Amino acid sequence: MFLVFQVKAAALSLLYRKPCKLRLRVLMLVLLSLVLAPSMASAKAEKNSVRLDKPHQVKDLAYGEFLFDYYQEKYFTSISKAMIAEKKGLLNHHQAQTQVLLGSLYVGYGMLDEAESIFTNLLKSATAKSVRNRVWYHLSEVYYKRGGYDKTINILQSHIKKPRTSLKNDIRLLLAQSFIAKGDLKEALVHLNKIKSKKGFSQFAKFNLASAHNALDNTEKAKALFHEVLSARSREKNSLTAALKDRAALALGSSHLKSKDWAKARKSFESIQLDGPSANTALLGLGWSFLRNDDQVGALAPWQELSSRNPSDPAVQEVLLNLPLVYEKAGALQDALNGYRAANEYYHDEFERLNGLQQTINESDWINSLTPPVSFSFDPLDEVSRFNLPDTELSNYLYQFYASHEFQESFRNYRELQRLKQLLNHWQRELPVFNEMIKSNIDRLNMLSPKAEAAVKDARKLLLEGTEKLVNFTQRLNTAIAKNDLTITATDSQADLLERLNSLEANVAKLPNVPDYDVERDRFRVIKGVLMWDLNETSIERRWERTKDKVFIEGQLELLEQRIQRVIAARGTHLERYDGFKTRIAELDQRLNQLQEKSLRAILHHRAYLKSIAKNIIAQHQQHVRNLQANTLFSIARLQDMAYIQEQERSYQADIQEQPGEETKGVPTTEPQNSTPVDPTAFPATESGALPTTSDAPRVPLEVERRKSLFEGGFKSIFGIWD
Amino acid sequence: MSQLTKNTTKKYRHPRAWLFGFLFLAVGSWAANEIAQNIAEPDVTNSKVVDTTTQIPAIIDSTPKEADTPATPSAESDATEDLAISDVIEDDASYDDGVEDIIIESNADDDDLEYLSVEEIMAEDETAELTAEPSEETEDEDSEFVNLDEILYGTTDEDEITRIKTEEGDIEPPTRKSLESEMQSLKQEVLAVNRDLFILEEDLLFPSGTQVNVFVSIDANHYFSLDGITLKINDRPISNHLYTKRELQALKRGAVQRLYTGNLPTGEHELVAVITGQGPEKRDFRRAVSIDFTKKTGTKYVELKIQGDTLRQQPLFQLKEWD
Repeated sequence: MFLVFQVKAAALSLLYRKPCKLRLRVLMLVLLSLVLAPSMASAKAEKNSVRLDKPHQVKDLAYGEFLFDYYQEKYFTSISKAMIAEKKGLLNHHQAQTQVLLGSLYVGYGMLDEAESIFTNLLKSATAKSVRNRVWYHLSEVYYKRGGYDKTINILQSHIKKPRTSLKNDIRLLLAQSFIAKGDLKEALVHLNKIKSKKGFSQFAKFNLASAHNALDNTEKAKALFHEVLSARSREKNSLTAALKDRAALALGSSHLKSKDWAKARKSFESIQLDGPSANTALLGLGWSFLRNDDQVGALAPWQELSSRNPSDPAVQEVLLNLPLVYEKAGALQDALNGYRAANEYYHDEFERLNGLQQTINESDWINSLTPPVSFSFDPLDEVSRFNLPDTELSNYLYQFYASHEFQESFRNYRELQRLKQLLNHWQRELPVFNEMIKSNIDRLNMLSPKAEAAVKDARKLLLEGTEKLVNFTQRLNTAIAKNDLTITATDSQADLLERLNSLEANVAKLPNVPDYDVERDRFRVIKGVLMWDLNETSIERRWERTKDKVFIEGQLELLEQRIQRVIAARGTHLERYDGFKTRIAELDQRLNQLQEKSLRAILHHRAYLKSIAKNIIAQHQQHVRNLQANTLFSIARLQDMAYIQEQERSYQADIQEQPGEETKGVPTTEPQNSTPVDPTAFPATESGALPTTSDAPRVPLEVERRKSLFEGGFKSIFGIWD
Repeated sequence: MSQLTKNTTKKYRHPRAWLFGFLFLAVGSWAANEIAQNIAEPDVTNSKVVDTTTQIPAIIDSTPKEADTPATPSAESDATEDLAISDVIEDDASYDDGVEDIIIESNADDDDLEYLSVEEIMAEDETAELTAEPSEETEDEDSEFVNLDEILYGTTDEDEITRIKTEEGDIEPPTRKSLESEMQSLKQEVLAVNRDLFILEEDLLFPSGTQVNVFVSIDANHYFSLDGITLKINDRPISNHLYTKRELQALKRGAVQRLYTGNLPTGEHELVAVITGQGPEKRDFRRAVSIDFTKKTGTKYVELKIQGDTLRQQPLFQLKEWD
């Protein structure tokens, strides 16, 4: 007898409407869709079906119970129930289905190896090929996002068989991305070149494809794809699609900058939202596109706008150096010098600030401040509350890290660890309660023991008496049956009558043997005959009843005997059972202690990991600031040196004018007397405008020229542009 | 025939004597059984409730049904019958007030049906113990976990926490791969220990010899929309559950809910489920079904099936035993 009804498909949209709570919920959705495919709503149940993607009967209550929590998105509970059912052997008919669904939960829970192992063994039998391919693809995506590139490649190449065209392209792209991440550009190119059609590609996929081509220096293909993303008309205009277009425009602009196509670069940068996440970088790029096109004035507008923004952004930090450069190029040397000095001061302060932030990260409560305890739950898979950017100075530098997949993944793991710890704490508090329960039960056994002993004694006495009487009765019954004694089956009235007749018989026998008493003798014979006839009439039936009674009593006595034995054995059995519980509790306590230690270690490892990344990011900021500061100092020095050279030139020219017949012999052999920086603005723009022109070169002394070369090249922008 | 034989013969051939003898043995046997039960069953007064339902500790100590429960004729006659549920009996008159009367559906003949009025059930419901699902995080629990250090370090000892924090500074940052591997292994172990602890808890609270489970499944299409279910065993309320939208969705997709887990001694018992909801045409609907079952030594499973009767355009309720 099975519980027979169809697994229903109703209300599917509920899951799809809801925002994803777990990482890569997408895989869960795929697997949920196996049991919830809309098309099966009206389909009839198939007998003996083991396929999750088809309507199937729930034949194990444990499977139905597992689904109850699974459908309610109580994933940790459903994992626990499935594991319990499996261990108790309650999944006789749905072992494969439960395992596959469990695998999907393991993915959500970050246990990818476990999930992969289950899918490898069972996915084939539990789902259709198309669904199987999708599941494998999504699992490989999870691995990719976690940096498991080899696993991604392995799954894509070995588990997915004959995918549909749309999935085929996705697979190739993911393969190419994995190879790029591994640094195997040649192999990546092979897979990228196999993508002939972009049909079915989402805008995100196109962007990824373009990025992959960009990484492989397929500039033209990349540009074309970025263009496609930019020109795509989306039905929904939300922040996500706008951000994607901005990213595409930024990438396109950068690409144009690299290929020195300033006008196109400008156009791309100009299409980016002014308040979007890519705005700062775009403003910086826009400025460069003007500047490299010798339009200093054009560069000023975006860079001045950028300079007014949050200075913790690397683009804003760079522009503090770029603005004086524009002034310098435009000949406003005093403004340039002032700008450089201000930038230098800012970089110095910024470096010190970053040092302070490093200390803040080192402090232990930094991560705690990111994880408010109010959202704790006993369910480690329960929804993690949305990460809110902490309102601290550190957030200005780490916001990109906070937004990264790596941080989100680690943060979630950290929260899960906290919850696991909470779960372990809970169980550790429960164990003494279990021990207390056992103790109470043992106390109760001890309390009942005298009562049980007395009851056993009474019952034994009863049994003995009952047995004795039964034996006697059985003997009599057997004898009566053997001798055909009808009297044993007499009723009460018959027995009374028989007794009276027996006593009468003696009196009748005493009567004188004369005809006068023949009547009495005949009456006695008739009465006795009637009684015997009566007894004989019902004797068979009554014998049968007595035999039945005997059997019943035997059964009752046997039952009593069994109960007595049960009572005698109960104490020992239960004490043994409770001893077993005690052993289990001790063993579990030990395991819990070990896990407490392990989980604490894991938490500390996570903290160390997150801290190290945050510190690295701050260190990179520091490095960036240091580079900018060095360039600022070089620029200041360059301006000062320029002034010095011009001063030298001027005195040199004056010397020539004073001694017209004397030829130039060489370079001055001593340093100038006065090395104090000279205000460059004090000189006419025509002479001291920008860097010395080539026409000036022959007139510059050699040593000065060599020194000047030290300052050539400027710095490298975050766009990779050298100035 | 000797005197002794005569007396004995007289005693045993007398039917009253046999009756007394049987009665004597039966009472003795029952008394021994009762003692054995008391020893065999765990002390449920010490038990914790882990299920969403309220446990009725008295049930385990109650005498068998035939001894203290006023058995209905149907219950007596059903003891040895097959436990199939009879068809739903409808009362057309009940549509007058828009609320259907409760009809106890059992496996007995029509004559044996127990009829309960709505007022009676309502009165029972009012006095019944409410077994509302306890919230997962009570205030007390919340207050227990506000100390983050206690959660993380498992102690409130300042020195210990300082020691761990000092150690933390010496920990080398692991690689992402090793971190992932550590996490996976830890999770696997926690899941395993969690499973074993759940099994231990269940074994302690509900030994298989006395365990009784009641499940609910729905396959009623649009004929019935469930609001709540009240369960009674041997006329004692054991569970009262009101359904959330999420639970209903899960049930409608084919899931099965474990509504009650508890302990019962071996013997005959009666389970009554009172189901409330909305029937066809959004009418308020209240129906009761009952089943007499024998609790043997193994775990007992009973399923309340709510199905749609397409022929009669009505919901159909059944209580079914599982082995």
